[in-house]
Amino acid sequence: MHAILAIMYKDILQWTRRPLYFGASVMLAILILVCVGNTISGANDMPFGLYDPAGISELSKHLTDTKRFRVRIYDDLEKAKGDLAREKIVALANVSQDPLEDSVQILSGGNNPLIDDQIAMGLLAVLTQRAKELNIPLHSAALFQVNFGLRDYITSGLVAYLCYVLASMNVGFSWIYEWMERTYRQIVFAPGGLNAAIVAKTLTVTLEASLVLWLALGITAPIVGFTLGGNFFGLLGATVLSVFTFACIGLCFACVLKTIRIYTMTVSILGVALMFVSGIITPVKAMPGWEQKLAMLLPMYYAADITKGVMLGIPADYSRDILILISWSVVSLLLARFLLIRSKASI
Amino acid sequence: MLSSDKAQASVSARNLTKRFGQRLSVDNLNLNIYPGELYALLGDNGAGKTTTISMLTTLLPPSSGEFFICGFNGLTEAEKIKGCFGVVSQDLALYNELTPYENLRFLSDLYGLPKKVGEERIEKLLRRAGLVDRLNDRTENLSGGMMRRLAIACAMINEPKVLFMDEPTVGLDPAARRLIWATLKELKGAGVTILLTTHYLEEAELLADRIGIIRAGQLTVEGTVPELAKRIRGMRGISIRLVQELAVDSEQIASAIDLLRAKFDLEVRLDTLRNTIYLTQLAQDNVETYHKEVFDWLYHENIPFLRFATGEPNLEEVFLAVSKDEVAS
Repeated sequence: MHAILAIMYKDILQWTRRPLYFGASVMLAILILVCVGNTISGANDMPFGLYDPAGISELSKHLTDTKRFRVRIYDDLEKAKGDLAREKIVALANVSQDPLEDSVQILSGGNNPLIDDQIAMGLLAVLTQRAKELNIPLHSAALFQVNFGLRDYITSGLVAYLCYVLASMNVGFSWIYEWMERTYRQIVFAPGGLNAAIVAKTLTVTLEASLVLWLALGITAPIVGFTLGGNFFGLLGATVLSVFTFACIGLCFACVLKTIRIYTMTVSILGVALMFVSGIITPVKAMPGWEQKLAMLLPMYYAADITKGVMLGIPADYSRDILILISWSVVSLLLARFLLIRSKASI
Repeated sequence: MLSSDKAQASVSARNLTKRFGQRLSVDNLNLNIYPGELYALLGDNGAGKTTTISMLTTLLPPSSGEFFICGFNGLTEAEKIKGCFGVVSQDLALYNELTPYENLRFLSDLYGLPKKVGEERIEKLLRRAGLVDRLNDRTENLSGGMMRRLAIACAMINEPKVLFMDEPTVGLDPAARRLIWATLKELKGAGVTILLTTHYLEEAELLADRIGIIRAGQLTVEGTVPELAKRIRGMRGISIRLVQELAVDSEQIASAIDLLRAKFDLEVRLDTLRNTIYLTQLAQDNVETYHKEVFDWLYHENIPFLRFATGEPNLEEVFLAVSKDEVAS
């Protein structure tokens, strides 16, 4: 126990002596929360053309109200089409001027499916929210009454992703740095040093990465405007468990990859893949079947499930998630220990 | 030399072997180092010195053979032997963000020393290392010599009976090396058994009780410095450094040496790097006549020189001779 505490105290002391690294970690987390969240949660103020010289529809008001669109009114249909072609507007609503026809034609550039999706989503929002006012037979309903938007949904997934990023980074800078400086040997030469190091390092990495994450969330949430949910202790538990799991897995990777350059490259590439596969951005259920099966094998899927559950209050299989994350942690720790014992000298 | 027949060796290796795939790094190494002894292990790069230390410090499992540290079997009682030894590696294993005091404090806590004992030991080690006035500076701001002394202090925190030192003075300036040597002598005086690997032959000659030369993983030669000198054929004492204008491999020198060879049964080695002629006297008798004849030869052949030196063999000569398989059996 004294060895574990000694290593933890030393690591934390070292951590406090690297303010630049600490600041950079917090900034990274904030950037991901702000930029990725903003980008994925959809565009605002998309320039949307409206040709309705007679003012038959009230589309201008309804579209503007969604804040997704910035409406530009046209009196000349040809000029509006020209602006669409020159990408000055992303879409054009051509409201039929025949009072009997009562139709709207939506024209888009058509060369960017993602923009078309955004337009479609925006229009759908207009229609479903205003269905009653517009007197159209279109209704939307949800099984669970939730009080969060796409931004919140994305952010809760990003929290799981950040658990991975921060844990991996800290493992790299803690373990591999120690190997590079050869100071790791001092620990290994002490009786029981190897086991103490495995426990102490994963705990310290978990503590440091969690603190950075909480700080970034605390700073970003009120400024950007996303919910942290009401389950404070649940959020702490979910993030600590997720960070711990990724720290243990990161340790295995570090034992195999050994140099900071290869380690950083590998975990970065892997991180991007995990983010897309594990339902951080696109819900797993909306992915192809084989990807769904793959996602179920990966720990980030369960980390995302548990963080979304505690932050948004949506249904999550907590016991399954916790069990699987703990299993990943234990297996990773045992594997890391085996690898460390085998390659002490080369490390 | 210490009595080897009665004392139990502090470090003992029996047929210690390490293979990396097809490559044999250490080949059936047998070694005994006795309590309070400083044993210097010499060898070229890749000879197997560091691999030997890595095995003896449990970092690397041997392919075969066994070893004992302080009587404990290194293979079956690895955790027990860990408390018995300290290691100073050629890489400075120090935490640069921490102060010397914090480095030692960490190791004291790691080994579970009681707080009071730890503080007393840290104070003693810092004083011995000459770092009392730098104890609160960051380690990264210390000089190379100071860092090395701190590394030795770190290795001594648990008061080990055995100290493994893998080229501890590499890269240090002469003054810093001398300070390290003084520390090593002090540790030796305190009864610590030391296994030192070094490239500096002068260092081994100065510090070691016994010297072993390892070559291609095998302990080729072992003994005290005088013993080794005796085992080398024709350990001579003449080296002639020529003036810069006259190259040691010139035709003038070659023909002059032929004349000298006709008089003496000589082995000649030309060192173009140092522009020096080394003359090997194959018999130890008739030394004065031999020296005089060589001196006369230089004047007679009109060979200008900067330095004419005679003396006892040094380890470099021993080392080079052994490397060339010139060891007399």
